[in-house]
Amino acid sequence: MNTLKKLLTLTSIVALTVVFTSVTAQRAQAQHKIKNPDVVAHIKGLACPFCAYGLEKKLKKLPGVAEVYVGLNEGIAQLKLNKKDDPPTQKQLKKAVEDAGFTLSKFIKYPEISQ
Amino acid sequence: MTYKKENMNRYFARMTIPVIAGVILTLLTIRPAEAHNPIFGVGPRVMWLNGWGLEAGLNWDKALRESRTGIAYSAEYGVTPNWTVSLNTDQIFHNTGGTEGLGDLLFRTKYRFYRNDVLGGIYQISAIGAVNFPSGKGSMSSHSTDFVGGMAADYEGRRWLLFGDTRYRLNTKGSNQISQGNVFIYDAALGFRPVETSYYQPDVVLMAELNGQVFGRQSVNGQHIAGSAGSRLFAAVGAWITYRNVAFKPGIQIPVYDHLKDNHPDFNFVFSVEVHF
Repeated sequence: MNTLKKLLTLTSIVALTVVFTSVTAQRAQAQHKIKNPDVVAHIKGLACPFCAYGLEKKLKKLPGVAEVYVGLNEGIAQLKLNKKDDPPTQKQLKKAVEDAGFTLSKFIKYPEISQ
Repeated sequence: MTYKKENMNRYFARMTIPVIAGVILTLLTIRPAEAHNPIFGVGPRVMWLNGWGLEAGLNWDKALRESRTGIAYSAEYGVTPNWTVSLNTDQIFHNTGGTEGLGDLLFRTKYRFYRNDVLGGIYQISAIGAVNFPSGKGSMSSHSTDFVGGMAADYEGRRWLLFGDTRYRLNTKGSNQISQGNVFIYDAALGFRPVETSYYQPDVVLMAELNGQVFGRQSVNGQHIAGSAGSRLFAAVGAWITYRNVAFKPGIQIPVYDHLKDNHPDFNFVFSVEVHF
């Protein structure tokens, strides 16, 4: 009986946590997209936020990258570049995405700079 | 029957219950860190290149008349975008059956040899290999160096997730002269994301799993232990609650089918926290 009570208590705690988090997620402010991004790329394989953290890390490490936005539902990554450094090349961007475990399928927007 | 043979039979009969319990609790306890993979099974997902993952999971399980509470530790590293290695162990700090302390050390390698990225989803298959070193003590250790090989596959989408894995554990003869039977393990899991959140919002995935184990016969000093072979099937429910690089994974597992003699497992509850950096 004690075990059953403990099980019911634990299950209730988990269920409440899930419900609360789901409700919070719906009302939470979404990360704003970057206004006027310098680079926009279609990324394949973006299924979960937890996995996308690696993509954010790899892209932020690239030279010239000031800001990163990962759009899971749109399947895109947006970059804002800093004006001080040279922008990352398309090859560097593709490699960073590949190292993170995803596939960069195409560039929607990229600065008009020779690689 | 001679006196010596009667004593041996009584010895084996007495050994059956603690040996089976020890094996089952050992197998159930060590759960390597899995970045967005099933809670009780193994998934194909790997860490990104040079990425690190650390996990600590509170385990509370009951089997037969034993109850144990402990923490499972895991550290994983992305050697390449498709290859991850990890070290796993557990620490029991409350055990009604006896032994407390650190359990065996499990070194695991996972190589993703197939990956198909699609818009909003991924299909992937990985090969899994592991070696269990008998570094634990008492009933927490298998007392032998054991090997695991298998495969895991999944489809992950924005709404639905489907996992499947199969593994085979080859148990060698232990230092305590006990040969635990080999184990065939299979898992299936279904995940559902009720709200498709954006990257900077908390994400929740509900999980339902089926976990099966088929045990081979055990032997002591070459003598088979009666009733030590059999199969068991568990059902489990759980959730992933993640925010960027932090994941909380609660889950509870109960037996639905048990063909092992004199074994009545109750449940297995876990709550783990995983961080990537």
